[in-house]
Amino acid sequence: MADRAQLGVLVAWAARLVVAAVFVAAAAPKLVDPAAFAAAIRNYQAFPYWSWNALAALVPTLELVGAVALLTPMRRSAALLLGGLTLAFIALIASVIVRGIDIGCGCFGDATAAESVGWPLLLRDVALLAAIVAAARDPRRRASA
Amino acid sequence: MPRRSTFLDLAALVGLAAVLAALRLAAAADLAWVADEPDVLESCALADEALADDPGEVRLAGPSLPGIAAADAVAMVGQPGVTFVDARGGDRYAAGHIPGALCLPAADAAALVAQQTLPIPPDDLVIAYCESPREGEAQALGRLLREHLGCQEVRVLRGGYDGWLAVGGPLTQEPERG
Repeated sequence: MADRAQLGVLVAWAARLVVAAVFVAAAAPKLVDPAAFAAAIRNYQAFPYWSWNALAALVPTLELVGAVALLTPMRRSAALLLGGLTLAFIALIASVIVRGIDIGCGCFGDATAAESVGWPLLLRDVALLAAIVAAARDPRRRASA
Repeated sequence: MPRRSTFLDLAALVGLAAVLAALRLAAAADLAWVADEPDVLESCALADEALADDPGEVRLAGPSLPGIAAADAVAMVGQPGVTFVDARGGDRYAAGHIPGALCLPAADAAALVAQQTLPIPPDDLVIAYCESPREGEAQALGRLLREHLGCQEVRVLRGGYDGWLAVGGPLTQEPERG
């Protein structure tokens, strides 16, 4: 069974690396140009005026801190943080779909400014959530149980 | 179930992120945030500059254009004989705009004046909008369209794009038609 345990460790590490890379890639352009992200947040029409700038600063730092912590022994806490963020994103995307507005997601900054909020984005975030769950699991404990 | 230490760590991570966010906000204090007035002032200065190239009695001499309430304008989206004109600039236009609106930043409008070309039927009701309730950019662009390019009826969207969002007006990312 040692091989399976090793495979589990590999999968968990791969998930951690992929999720961390995704969130670093998402955080970097927002940290560089928070005003553009504030404009994207405004287009969601879901947040009050006074919160745009604060959210534009807080969301990328949460993403960055979560991504780095996912590669440390604090990975379960990091997974909770990133999972919570992703759940919030999913809820927001669903609300945009329900309201029928056509806006750019702002997810990865200007690079994908033309990327619309819609079903493909929702599915992508669900897949991301699955990867976060995989990253949070401890295969060694499971194998020894 | 996650252990208690997991939640303590989570709190520490969120706290760290909050501190970093505060530092980022402080570092970006001079940044032209979308919600800040200096951004609008900058846009208006740009509009004035573009118009100043034109031998222009128009710029500040003419009367202000009449406004139109966002709630009324919402009903005019897609109507024949109505053209929305977005004065905000390409990036913001690409991120979301009123359906069917033309992207016409002030600098481009000055070029249209120089060429005497107009992408709008002269009989259309033109509704110009810019970013904010200050409307300076839309006023400047609207006056240019009326005085120099022959648009008969030009109005400015009251409250600008902010006002449009406030009444839940439709948005699109479709590229400009034509």
